[in-house]
Amino acid sequence: MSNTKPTCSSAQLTAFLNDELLETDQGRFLKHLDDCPSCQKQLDKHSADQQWWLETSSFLSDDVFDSELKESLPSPLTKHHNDPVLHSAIPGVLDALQPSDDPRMLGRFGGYEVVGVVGCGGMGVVLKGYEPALNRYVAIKVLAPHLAMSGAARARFSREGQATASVVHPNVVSIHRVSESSGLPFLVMPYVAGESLQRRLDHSGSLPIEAVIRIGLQVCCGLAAAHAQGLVHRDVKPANILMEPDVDRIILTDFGLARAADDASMTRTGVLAGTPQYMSPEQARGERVDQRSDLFSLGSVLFTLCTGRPPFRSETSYAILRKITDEIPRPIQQLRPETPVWLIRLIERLHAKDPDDRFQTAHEVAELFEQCLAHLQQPDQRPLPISLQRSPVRYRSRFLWAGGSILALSAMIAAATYLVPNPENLSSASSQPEQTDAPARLDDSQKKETKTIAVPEILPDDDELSMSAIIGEIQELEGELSRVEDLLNEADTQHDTATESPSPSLEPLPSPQE
Amino acid sequence: MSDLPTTRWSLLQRVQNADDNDAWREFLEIYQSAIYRYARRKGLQAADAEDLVQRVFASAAEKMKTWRLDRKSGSFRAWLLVVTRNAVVNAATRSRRHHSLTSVDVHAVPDGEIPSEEEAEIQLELRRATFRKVVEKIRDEFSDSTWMAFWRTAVDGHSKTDVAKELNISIGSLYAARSRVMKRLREGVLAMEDET
Repeated sequence: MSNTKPTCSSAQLTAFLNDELLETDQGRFLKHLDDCPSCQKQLDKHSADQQWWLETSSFLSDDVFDSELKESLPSPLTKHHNDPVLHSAIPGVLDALQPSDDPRMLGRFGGYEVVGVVGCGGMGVVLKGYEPALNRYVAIKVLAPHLAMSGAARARFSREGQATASVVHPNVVSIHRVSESSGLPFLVMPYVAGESLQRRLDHSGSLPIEAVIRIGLQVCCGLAAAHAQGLVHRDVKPANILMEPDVDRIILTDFGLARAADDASMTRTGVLAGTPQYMSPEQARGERVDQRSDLFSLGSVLFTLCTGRPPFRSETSYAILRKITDEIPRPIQQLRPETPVWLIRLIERLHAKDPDDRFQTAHEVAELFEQCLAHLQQPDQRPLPISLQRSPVRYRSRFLWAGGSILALSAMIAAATYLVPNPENLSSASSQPEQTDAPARLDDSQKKETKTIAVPEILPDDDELSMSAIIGEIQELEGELSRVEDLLNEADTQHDTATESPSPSLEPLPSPQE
Repeated sequence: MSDLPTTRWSLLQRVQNADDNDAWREFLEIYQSAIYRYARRKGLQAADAEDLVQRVFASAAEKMKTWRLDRKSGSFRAWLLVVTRNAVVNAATRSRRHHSLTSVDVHAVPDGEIPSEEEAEIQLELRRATFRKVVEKIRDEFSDSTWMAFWRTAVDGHSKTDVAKELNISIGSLYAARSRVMKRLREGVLAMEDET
């Protein structure tokens, strides 16, 4: 049996697919397969006919609705372990309702009139309730019945309630009550009539820059308060950030996965906790996380708010996780060119793969946001935080004064547009002494790499450079160029000098010191 | 109801057993993804489609309590398709303001004919959803390299020689890998269509 010569037989293909070949035969078959296009084709055919291959290609490719499905519904390709199960919890919870006298109500639960089902959270079903005594609406989060049977889940659920209740902050949802009814533990929170950021993104896409900063600031404040209590949220994402209607306030909700940072007991169950898209690399790897993990997730939220799409997207949750750990997201400038460079820098710092390279506390980021906001409102009086300013500021001013160097500038832009500087070159470039408008000299390695002019000055003088920052600079420079050209044209006609009227108001950055 | 496969009985049987969450989850994932896509293709906004899925499922949960599995005429699946289709048509024709107040008609009977074209569309979405569900289920049965060999060539449409090079495997191994996954996928889809 094992000494059959590797011929092209249909029986052999079938046996191979059914895993019925002996090991030696299989080795021989694989070797044969390398050189036999006919068997290759036949093997495809034996596994499934043409129709199946076509369907596979069509059904499994991303289509326009994929990202929506992943966000709004538990998608078949994204392993939201909790949500689909929780949908089944809705009937279970509804069964636990007691009858109400009010025909408009679904029933009563824990002393509240239940108006409707709001949705499913981390571990349970959220009901909209009415509290007659206080004449107010509340959100009642009920632990899913199938989870209520597990002691660990009950413990975690009540820990969640207590933990959240211990954080008193305007940007963190408050907890009215932690209790139990019909054997189901539940939490009572204020009912927020607004919509989640996710919903907002769904219907209006990306947000204005100022709104992004206001939201970022408030999320940071809420996170800082939670972190101060030793809590890591672990699931910072647009769906967990609610916007109050009419008021300019956001509320961080669903500390469903939050737990005291020192409680690692339930982390290694093998089940992914949290939506993969907004996870941090350390979460994706199943490692221990601390508050800086929330900051990475915040970076992903800000990215999404700026561009209208999450930074790490893919077919499967597995691929998403790999992107989170291994890949740099597409540059924000490409997706939304008008995003200020300093905001991009801030997001990039949050997105550092290594927690040590990120900002270290939410408090620190909140302060930065405050300064950015002030700067946005009064660009002249309130400079950007130092840590978000870099050489492009000085560089730009010099260019406006360097009326004669249009040609050089064009050449540089051309060079910079077609070249992708290699990071190794960048650090050597950035260590060069500051120069003015002259397209700089090259060292040999750069020459080899680029075969044309290098542009040390447009490179931020920091070590951690990224493509996106560079592309952003290039786009800014292109804008500069056309503005300078305009100025020169104007100057020609007016017999004036081009250097008198750069208009700093066009710039998101502070007007440079000359 | 023409040639709609009579309902996914075994799954429904399991679904009626409230403790069987896996069954319910499979059912949900396949149908909700299919209904959502169908609704979107019919021109509903994302939020409205999401809403519609929820309403259809709320009514389905209601209906299932009373559904008799031994019933010969009509199937749950057929019923669900009619409800879905009606809900989509309603939502698409009514103004946004009104349709949110409209509940799904739980008592719709599957004797309202679904035009065959629409039926085919829903069926297509169901099959797509089934493929995706099976992919999720079988993914862990294969090594990364085997899976990539399949996915990059069969789904992403990259050239087989490129992918083999990329994965650092021989062309024969690439064919072996992708055909094994495909066989498993086909079996999975057939089994699920049979069962559900």
